[in-house]
Amino acid sequence: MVTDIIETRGLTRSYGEICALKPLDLLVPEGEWLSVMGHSGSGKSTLLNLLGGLDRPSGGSLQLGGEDLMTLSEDGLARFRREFVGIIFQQHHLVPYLTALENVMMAQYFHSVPDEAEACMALERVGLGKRLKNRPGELSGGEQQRVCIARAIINSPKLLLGDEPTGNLDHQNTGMVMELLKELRSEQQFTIILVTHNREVADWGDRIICLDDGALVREERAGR
Amino acid sequence: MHRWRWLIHIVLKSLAYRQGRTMLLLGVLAMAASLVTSLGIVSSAMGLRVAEEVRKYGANLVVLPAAARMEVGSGGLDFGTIAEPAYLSQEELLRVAGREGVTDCSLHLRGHLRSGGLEIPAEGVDFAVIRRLYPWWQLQGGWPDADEAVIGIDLAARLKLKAGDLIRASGTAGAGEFRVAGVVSTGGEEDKLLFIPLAKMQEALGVGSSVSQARLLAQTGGVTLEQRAARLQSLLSGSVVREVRQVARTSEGLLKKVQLLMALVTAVVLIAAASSVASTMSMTVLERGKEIGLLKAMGATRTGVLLLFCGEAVALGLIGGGVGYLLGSGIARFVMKTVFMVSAGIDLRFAGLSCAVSLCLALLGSAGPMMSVFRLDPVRSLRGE
Amino acid sequence: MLSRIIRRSLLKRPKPVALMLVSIILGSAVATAFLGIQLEISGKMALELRRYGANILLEPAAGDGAYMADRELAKIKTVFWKHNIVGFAPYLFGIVDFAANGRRERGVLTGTWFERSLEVEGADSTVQGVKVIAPWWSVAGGWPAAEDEAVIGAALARRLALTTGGTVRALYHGREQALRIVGIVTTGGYEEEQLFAPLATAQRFLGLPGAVSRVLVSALTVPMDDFGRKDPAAMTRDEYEKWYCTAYVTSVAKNLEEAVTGSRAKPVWQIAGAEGALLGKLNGVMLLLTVLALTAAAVGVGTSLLASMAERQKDIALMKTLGADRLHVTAIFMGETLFVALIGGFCGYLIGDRLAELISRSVFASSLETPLWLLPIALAVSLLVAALGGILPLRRAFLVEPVKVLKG
Repeated sequence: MVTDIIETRGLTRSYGEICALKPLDLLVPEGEWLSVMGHSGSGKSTLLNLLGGLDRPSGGSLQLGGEDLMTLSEDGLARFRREFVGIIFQQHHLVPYLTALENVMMAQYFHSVPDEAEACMALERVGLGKRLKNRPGELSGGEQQRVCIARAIINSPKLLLGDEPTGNLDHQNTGMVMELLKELRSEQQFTIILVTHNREVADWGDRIICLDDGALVREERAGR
Repeated sequence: MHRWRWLIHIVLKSLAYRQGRTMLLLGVLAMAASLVTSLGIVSSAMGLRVAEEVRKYGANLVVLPAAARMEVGSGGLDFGTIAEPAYLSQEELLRVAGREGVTDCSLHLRGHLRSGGLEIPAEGVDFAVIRRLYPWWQLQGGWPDADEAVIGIDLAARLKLKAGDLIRASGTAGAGEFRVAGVVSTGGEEDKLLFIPLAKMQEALGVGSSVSQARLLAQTGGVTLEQRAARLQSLLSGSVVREVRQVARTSEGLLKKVQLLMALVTAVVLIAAASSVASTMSMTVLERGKEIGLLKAMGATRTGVLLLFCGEAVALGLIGGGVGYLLGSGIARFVMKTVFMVSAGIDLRFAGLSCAVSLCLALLGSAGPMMSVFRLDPVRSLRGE
Repeated sequence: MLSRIIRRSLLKRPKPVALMLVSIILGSAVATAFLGIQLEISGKMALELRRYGANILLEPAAGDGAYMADRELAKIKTVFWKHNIVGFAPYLFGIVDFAANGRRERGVLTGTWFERSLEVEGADSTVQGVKVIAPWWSVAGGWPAAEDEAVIGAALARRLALTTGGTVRALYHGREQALRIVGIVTTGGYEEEQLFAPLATAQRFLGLPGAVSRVLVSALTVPMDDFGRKDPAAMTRDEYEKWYCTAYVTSVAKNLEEAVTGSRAKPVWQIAGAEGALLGKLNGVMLLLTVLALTAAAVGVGTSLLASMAERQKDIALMKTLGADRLHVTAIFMGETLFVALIGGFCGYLIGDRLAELISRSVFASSLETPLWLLPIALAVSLLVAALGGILPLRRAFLVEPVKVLKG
């Protein structure tokens, strides 16, 4: 019996008079790879931010892994983020003055304790075993994104979120990153939600939902 | 790896990355700390130095017999022999010298002597002490050896004497002949007196080991001069011990004024430094909005981010304080050498003060920006707002 | 249209401009205050040292038994060095018998001025007397106002068992004078053995109308150096003129001696000797304080300007993206910077003036005039500093693409 890891009812987000996300009911089973598609301004990033605990809903309910996110305080949300969620962004968002290894260890630091051995293993797993001591400025786009992945999964999250993670990468790197994600998912059994405007990328998932103007307009099986 | 070690590691890396800013902040903190350090060192040493200078105004305490009258020759006036002169015991006074912060004690015995048919006011003194306690004596000739005398310039004119002449003087109980070693002019009562060695004066007046007055130089610092005077009076029977207000009060007032001025300048310096630290830090934190958002997205709590910034402020504060102390000590030594002609020693107390000032400035300067960290929304920061 | 957009966008981000303004005001205020103080500090310190007492003594040239005339006293404030004369007090001594409360003592009756207004032709009237030249006198009670009031020394008062309000009779060569005690003076010096009465009363009583035994003068002088110590009699004409026109205590004394008939002037070396070195040291410390304060101000302004540079760069980049050309940008940016500097410099001058007054009042209990010519200097320096601080971001911004700057 697969439980729903995400359950939203009437989830909505407004900024003043502008409604970025219209009331949305969504169920995501555990272990699913969900792709969220839409043009810019469709509300897909908003949805992702809400699901990742980076933003607060204006209304509706949001349950992640059994927890009601509406009841959490600012510190509670921070705790939730580090224990439950891993996030990858389009802009790589690595700390520029730390090495690849140290960037991964930062995530460990906020979670519990920095563990060099574990971080090494994680980076090796993503194919950067030889690039541990390099700073983000010395890594290519694809390599940086892989560091982000290593950092995102180091604390064994239940949910991995990605906001256009391959948006800045070329075709080859995109393939490498997506392949890596697929392998990691079967190893660690986490749920993935990827936001993208690229149909090819979206097809790597199990299910695709499309948003337009803040509302869910289409839902389909991914074809790959 | 231990959490604290990791934090220190990150803090240092963060500071090293933003080299320009870090150097700027360190510069400002070191500058402020060094100014405060040098002000502090010079101020505390200056108290001593000015006190040394003020010594040149002479004794600040005078001991008189309780029953004393106006003395012979006081204020340059001459009004004949006093009926019952009162005396103090020399032994008692010498016992007291060295206690209660008394650094010098000059004994004086006044009386009338006869010389060449005239009555002249005379004083028995210890010339070695006079040289120390009365540095303003302008002497034509030289300082006397044993059995030599010094004569005041007006008296010398009256008696038609000059340096090198012999003078014969006799008192009620004895007489003596003295070579005039020098002629003194001070513009005060000394100009009309004859000075001979104390022991000779005691012989001439037949008073044993008595003196008519003692003038003392006492340190203050901690205890007021009034209190010292009271304590000394209790140690000496039949005497009154009084502040020489002309010297003591004025010096006190002067010292306080200079210290007040120094305190005001220090305050101004601190305010100027604080404002520049604050402005630099607020600019810095604003630039790091994205970084803050990222850390939060990685799961950092507000406390976690604050800890990082505090750590940076502390590191900057300590380094700035250390550098400031070295710089400030250097400035202070230079000043002491050129202005006061003294080499100042190393004063480690100010190392602590320097670091404390630097730390306070660094933390206060970051306080404002750190407040805004609390309110920062991770999403908006990540988007670059 | 363009300028409207620019102005709108600038107003939305007032912070860096405000910061620059505040730091310029601060710097200008500190600089004005301390420069103003430094200009006057030497004079104020010298005046402070006068609190130690008179440094010149005037006596009758003919020696004991002779007197000077009190009508000559006004001349003291008309000599070449009249502006250096802080104050003086005349004294007339007489050895009399005092009787009070059944006791009888020999002592000194001293006639003097306590606090007397002296009128001098062609100049403002000044206050002279003991109160002016001997501020360390501690008088319990009050000062004599009437002809028959007197202040008595503490030791003498004790021996005669007198307190304020009591009466003492002075006896001299068959004459008698009753005096009411209005104050008791403590100094730790020989004043405590004297009775001080108004000069006119003492002159009348002692039968010496218009006579003065000595005058103590408090004068502002410069420290003695080797040149000043030379014997004036051995100087050449040029040397003598130079010596005479320098306010050594010896030359001021000579000046007074020439003015008051039948007098002889001597420096009181106890006071005059110590003063010179002390003044030198104090002035040295004051200079140090000024330099430190100015350094602090400079560092403060400098860092604030540097810090605001980064933000200003964004402003410039924004202007460029809105289509402004280099000339336009430079004109607006520098114009704004210089305008802010002018306001800052002016406000700083006003605040600095008040600050200097505050410091002068609390330390020296006297007022301080900040010279008007410091204002253009304050403005000029502010403009210069701001111009320098404005050039760097302009140069950087012109070199870097606006997009990069805006994105950070």
